[in-house]
Amino acid sequence: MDAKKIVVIGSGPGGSGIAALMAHDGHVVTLLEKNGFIGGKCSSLEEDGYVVDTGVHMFGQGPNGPFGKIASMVGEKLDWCLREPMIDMYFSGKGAVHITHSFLNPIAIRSALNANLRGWLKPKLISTLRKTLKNHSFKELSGLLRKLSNPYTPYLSEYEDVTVKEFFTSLTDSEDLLKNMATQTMITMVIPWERASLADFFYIQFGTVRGRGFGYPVGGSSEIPKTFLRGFEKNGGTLRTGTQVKQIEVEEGRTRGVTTTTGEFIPADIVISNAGIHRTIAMAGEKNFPKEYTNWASGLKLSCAFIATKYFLDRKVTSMRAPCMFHCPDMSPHEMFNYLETGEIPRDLYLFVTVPSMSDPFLAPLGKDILIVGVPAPCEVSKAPQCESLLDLAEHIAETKLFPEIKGRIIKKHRTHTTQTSGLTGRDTGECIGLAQEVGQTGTKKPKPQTPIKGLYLVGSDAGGKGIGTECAADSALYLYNILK
Amino acid sequence: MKIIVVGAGPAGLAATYHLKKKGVDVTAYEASPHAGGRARGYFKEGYLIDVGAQFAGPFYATTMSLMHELGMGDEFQPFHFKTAVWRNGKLYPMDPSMNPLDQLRNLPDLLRFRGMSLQTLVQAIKMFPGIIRNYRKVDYPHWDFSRLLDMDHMSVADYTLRYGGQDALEHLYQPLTAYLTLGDPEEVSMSHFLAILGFFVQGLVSFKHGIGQVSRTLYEACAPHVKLSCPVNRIVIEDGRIKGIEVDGGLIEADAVICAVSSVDALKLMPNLPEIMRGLLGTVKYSSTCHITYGLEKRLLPDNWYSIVIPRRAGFVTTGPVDSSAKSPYYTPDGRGGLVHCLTYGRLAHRYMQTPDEELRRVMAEDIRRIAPNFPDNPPVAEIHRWKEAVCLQSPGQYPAVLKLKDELARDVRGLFLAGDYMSLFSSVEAALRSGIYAADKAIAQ
Repeated sequence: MDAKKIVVIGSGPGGSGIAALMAHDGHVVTLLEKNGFIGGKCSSLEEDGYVVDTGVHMFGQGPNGPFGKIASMVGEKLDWCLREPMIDMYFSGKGAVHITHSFLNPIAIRSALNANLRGWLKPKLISTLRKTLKNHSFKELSGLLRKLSNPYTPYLSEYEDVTVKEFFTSLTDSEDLLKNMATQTMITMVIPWERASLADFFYIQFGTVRGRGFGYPVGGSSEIPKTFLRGFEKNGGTLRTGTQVKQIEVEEGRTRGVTTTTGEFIPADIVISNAGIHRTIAMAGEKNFPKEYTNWASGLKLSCAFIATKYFLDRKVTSMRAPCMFHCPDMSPHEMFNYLETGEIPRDLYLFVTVPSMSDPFLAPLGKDILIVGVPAPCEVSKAPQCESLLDLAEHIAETKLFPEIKGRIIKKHRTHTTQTSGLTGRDTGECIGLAQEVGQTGTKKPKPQTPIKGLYLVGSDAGGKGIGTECAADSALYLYNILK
Repeated sequence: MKIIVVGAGPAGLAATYHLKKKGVDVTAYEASPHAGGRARGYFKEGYLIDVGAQFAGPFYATTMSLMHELGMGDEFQPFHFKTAVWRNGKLYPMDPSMNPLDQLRNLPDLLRFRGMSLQTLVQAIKMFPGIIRNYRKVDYPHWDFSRLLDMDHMSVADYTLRYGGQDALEHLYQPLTAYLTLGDPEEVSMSHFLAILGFFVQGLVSFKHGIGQVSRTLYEACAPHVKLSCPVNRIVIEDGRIKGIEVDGGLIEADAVICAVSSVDALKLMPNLPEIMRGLLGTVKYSSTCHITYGLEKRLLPDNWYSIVIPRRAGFVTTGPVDSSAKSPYYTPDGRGGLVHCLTYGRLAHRYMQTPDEELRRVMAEDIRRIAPNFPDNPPVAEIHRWKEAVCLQSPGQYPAVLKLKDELARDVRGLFLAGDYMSLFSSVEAALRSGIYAADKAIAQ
């Protein structure tokens, strides 16, 4: 095999993953990163002894998923923190249900039973069963169960055109169960459930249960790309931070290399872009692509953004048992995420809260904590004013209802919203997970890593992979690696 | 004939004592002001603080015969204790003894025991026959672990995930590995774990005056031959044979040198050791730990409870507090009060090494309060010891490398002998003493 010259644009989990894999195979790889630090949306920065993530992260499969696979393929080890219980589900003003790695854990059973008896988690079992059997045949259901209990998580492409909402409303009337499904969809795919594809939902949920790795990397989120890049540099790859690509040079339908903003030309046989499909088309020049490809690409929809307030506390958070929680608003599941479309401010909000320093105590000075409160928001940068008022409300809920103990103990707080995210990625939008995993553009209809231009490939959560956000990106790196190998 | 011993830990002291008994001219050099290394004990305000080694088993034959020889035969006593398992915020007491009679005596505890989920139990039972079959390969009387070599390529985590499952790993094997090696199950080889299982199957032995009594007695027996606070800069090897050692005063020539320090220090002392041997020695890995000992006026745990088993997922800093006062009444002033040891462990431990003392005391105290809310604010004694190299981890592949190292050494470097706990698969005080005596015998024979 000849050693090829490869340029990778962007050092997110996908870009750094594929760069490490290709360098491991003996190719000459240059990784260009626009920012002064690596990781893109999966990076963490240190400030006053607090290591704070740029995003709001928890990871589904950890070392048992694509991250661990890439790390072991390039000869590195990813240290992972798992905590029991893994996540708390907080019902506004009522209490929490603890979710654990194993279904049989007494914490989980006790908290669910407690919720049930107190009447704030009503599964309505009998009516659910009746409705399920009315809308679906027994044969269909047993077939689905058999497929889902396969030890290797299958991707059920026959369900890719069904939305999560359609499927679960056909199973049950229980608002509490539906609320659970709607929030689970938002947490993992960052789109409202009426858009989300059921096939991706199943793949993510069952993958997480089987992967048994729901947790957080030792050393912060950026440790994931850093681990890959340690393997990358060990194998002779060149990493150049602070280098922004201006243009991807295309000649007669194949790539020649890239030009940076400083005017330097870097020749390459293969260019792999982790900059997202839209930005890649803009960089390579729209005229070089067939009309139908650009039209199709511009019609692809993006996922929502996750904006966040990051608190630096001078004490430990004590209201949570798990290192992360989500707060279900006291609203009907059908109107929970309407604000994303209409632009008004709802009376209660869905929040995803993580305390990374509960997983790895060294992310904050010992005895102190870092608290990240995330809210889904529309991804367009033009809607920034709405983001501000959403965060005002989120902070109010967090400080008064969820964590009364942090009052007066806040050293500093930061807000990150779409403007910052788009600054980080260099795209015009602040979406959380690239393209939305929604009906019509996922599974078989998802953009492939290959593009009409020879030698130009895409990587990242936009191209090929399956899974939750960052894991989808790493999965896409594995996908692309199999193509290029 | 002149022999020099570098390091006065258990291995170095055993070698010195053995050589002195045989009438050989021997001198031991120790960098620190105390003898005993990682098996030392001292008194502070009436509390006996065991620094380092904590456990001993009835199969410690060399240790026992040495102690008998030195008139300390009445030091050992069988140590019967209870432990408690932390699960979901509650403690469940249990008796770790394998004797069915003991279990019967603790029937109420056994019936009330919920420290393990059903899944863990099922997985553990599934693994049981394999573990027993492999455990039988160990020959403790001859200290022979060579039949475990075929298990050495697997770590505890690999083995458990293959034959048991995730629950057994996280709730049973991980806490056990953390307790015994202060490492993570991913780093410790299964063969080492099987060898350590002897502690559970055969029970523990405690020393009336702590395990430090072994090194104390040995040191007293050969005190004139041990030079404390006398660091060795280099072991001089020329043309494939030993020349002597270099100390601050200059070169001291010797016919043979027994290097009884940890492998990390050995590498620093011998920069011109042949590359292949340096590589083999480099495979030896250690866990690191911060070890805090709190002397308390009242016992923290109920009577007869010795330890608390906590899985790493619960997010504690320590492996779980251990109350040494259950071992013998000599540990605390007038036999009253408690003596709690807390140790950091696993992948986060090396990062606690830089934490300032005050901070560490506070973090540990917070941790203990999660278990025992009545932990006092200012315990009378709070000693901190930091070990960059705490326990030899015996990672997969280390034991074959050490066996190869022994062969290489005998062939290529004349007059150099290595001793230390890392020389045996079951790295322990016993292994150190044994390797010291073995090295001494080899040195005389040469």
